[in-house]
Amino acid sequence: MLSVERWHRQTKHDSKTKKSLPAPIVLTDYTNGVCFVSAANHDALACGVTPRMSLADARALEPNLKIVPADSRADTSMLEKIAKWTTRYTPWVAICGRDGLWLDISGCAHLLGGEDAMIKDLTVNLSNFGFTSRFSIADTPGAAWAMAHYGGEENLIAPGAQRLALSSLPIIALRIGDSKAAELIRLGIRSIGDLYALPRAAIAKRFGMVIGERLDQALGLMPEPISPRRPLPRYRAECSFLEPVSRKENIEACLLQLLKDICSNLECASQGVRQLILDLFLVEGATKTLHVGTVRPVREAKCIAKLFAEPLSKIDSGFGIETMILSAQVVEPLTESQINILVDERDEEIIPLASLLDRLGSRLNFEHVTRLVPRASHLPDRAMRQVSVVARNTQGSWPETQIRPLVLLDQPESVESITGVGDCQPPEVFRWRQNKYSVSATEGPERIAPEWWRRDRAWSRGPRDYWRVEDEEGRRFWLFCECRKDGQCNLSHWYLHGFFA
Amino acid sequence: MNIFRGKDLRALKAQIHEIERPKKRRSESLTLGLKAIDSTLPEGGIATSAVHEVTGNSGNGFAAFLAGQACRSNRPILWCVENDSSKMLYGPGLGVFGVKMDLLIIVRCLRTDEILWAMEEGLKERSIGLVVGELSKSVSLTASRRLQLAAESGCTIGLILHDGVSEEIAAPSAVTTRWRVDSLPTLKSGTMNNKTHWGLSLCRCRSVAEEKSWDVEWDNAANTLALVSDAKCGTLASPNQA
Repeated sequence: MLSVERWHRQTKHDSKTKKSLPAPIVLTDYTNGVCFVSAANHDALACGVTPRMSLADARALEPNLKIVPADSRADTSMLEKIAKWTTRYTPWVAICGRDGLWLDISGCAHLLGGEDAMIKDLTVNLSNFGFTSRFSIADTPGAAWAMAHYGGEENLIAPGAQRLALSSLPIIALRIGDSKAAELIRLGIRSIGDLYALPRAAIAKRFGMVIGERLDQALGLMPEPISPRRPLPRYRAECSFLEPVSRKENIEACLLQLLKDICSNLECASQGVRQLILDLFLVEGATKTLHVGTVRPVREAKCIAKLFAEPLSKIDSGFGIETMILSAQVVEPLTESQINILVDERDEEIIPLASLLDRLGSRLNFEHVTRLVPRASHLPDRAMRQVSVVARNTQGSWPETQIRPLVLLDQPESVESITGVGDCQPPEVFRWRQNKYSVSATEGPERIAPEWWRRDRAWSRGPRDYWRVEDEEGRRFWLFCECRKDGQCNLSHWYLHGFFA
Repeated sequence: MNIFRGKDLRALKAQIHEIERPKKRRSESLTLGLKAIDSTLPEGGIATSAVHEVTGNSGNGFAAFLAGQACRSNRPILWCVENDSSKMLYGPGLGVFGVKMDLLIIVRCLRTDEILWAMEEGLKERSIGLVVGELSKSVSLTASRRLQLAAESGCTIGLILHDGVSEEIAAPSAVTTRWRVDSLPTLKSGTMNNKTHWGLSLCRCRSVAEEKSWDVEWDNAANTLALVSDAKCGTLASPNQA
């Protein structure tokens, strides 16, 4: 149903003049060259068309079918959007299959006036977006799934009452797959209640462990672990508005308040935050998410607010923001620091630098704010790596080496030697990237051998002889040629690996 | 009107300057270690609270040299480059100029405006010693003015590096000095003598009227910068003195 409604929403956006007429619509997809129905709307279902039926059969049942190609990617992203939107009800949301969501509402329902009110609110809001939804609340995910899909009007299972509530539901409600369900039905086991009386061993022997497991999970005798979309934050602050807010100043003030709430909680726990996520729920149903990271744990509300300023300014709040939720995704211990009256100069210098790095990193991505770190290798291209400033252990000592170029090419580039002097000397004139350079001075060679304990494709052709070469205008290059097995240099091929100042 | 000449005029100028730029300008500078050059510059070196521009095909070498000089104050150095995966600044090569790697932060930006933004953020930060920004195009007057104001608020040095751009930049800009650094062939023919030879010209400086040029040589082994004529004269002059 989700796919058809997603299509409806999409086309409504495209052509607002056309009123959607009640007509049987199916979405079709191809499998093994057969066109089949992947989703159908209410009118089509009323005609007897069911999903997974081939299109030819569906046409035979209802010749006036409107056929639209399915778009599973758009469906997934729509489901993802809805999942994001439902985080306003609970932080624990997971996606279930192609058209379902799990919400863990333990301890959340009372905030919205109880479970009944919550379901009503969810259904009304989703139907305003143009989606039909069915919700069910139960102790176990299995029971909730069964009730939502096959429960009819009933949608609440009282705590501990799964056994009774599920007994009348069809066997397929156990999520055991069509083939197994069909086989059970063939044996006369039509409802879940029929399974209760049967000996487990016999079922397990015939159908495998799945059926027993699913039944136990639905009844709450066995845990069913489901991972949420996003790890649960340990610190979370929320703010809902009676009237939607869209002025920048108001949003910022509210954000600061949320940050202060979280920071005071963090302070009690001696924690500092490394990653924060701000979810903005807009009136029209869209959800905007902002990520912010820091190089060290912090809990100064004003510092963090500065990091949000840049991404916030890019947000188009549309008709206004209804709810803001701030969650501290990653926290690290941060001990209390005493304010020093006799200010230590070093400390004072470190902190502004960290806040600068936070600002740079949150705009440019921390991957792009780097330090150069040595690596124990004598190969020039391996001796250094760029490491994000966020990474730990970036210390290391640089070995004393020969003179190295200021700029190193990532991949050595082949140069064309025009005239060579032979006798293990670099070419007198060479061409690189269409330009001719005539060499006036050389220094070298410096022989660098590959590391035999590593398999490096770039160095697979043996040791290299590196030369420092200067052309007539004073440009200085780092050229090399590769050595053959017998120790002789392959003078016909020269490569450029770097530039000196 | 003679009473306004000399000392009084200078005092008045200083007063006006104070009004124009309310923040006290520290007259500190980064010395190059060469008297001939340092004495030409009004601040006695590369001025802090100012933005400088470097062009020429050895611009990055000169920037690395200045970064090495700035490392002596133990303050971090921000080097903003365009995100180009084909080539990179090489640590051991920077080390030749005395750059301390634990002070160096390299910021890889995707666009020119990101480089300018990162430079501005860095310049505003008092704890930073030097901010280098590699830009392929010349900077507009507005952008250079913004950088200049940021440098003044943070008492930092900004370096706009047009590496590989050898032609004269004519566009108006608010930079304090403009340098051109070209590589020159080593004096001793046939070998490079472990030295780096540059033609250093000061194309623009507020109180220096005409363009000045020096021939300098960086000694890779001794890690010192020396005037080429100086070095020659020195060897010639010393026997005479003795």
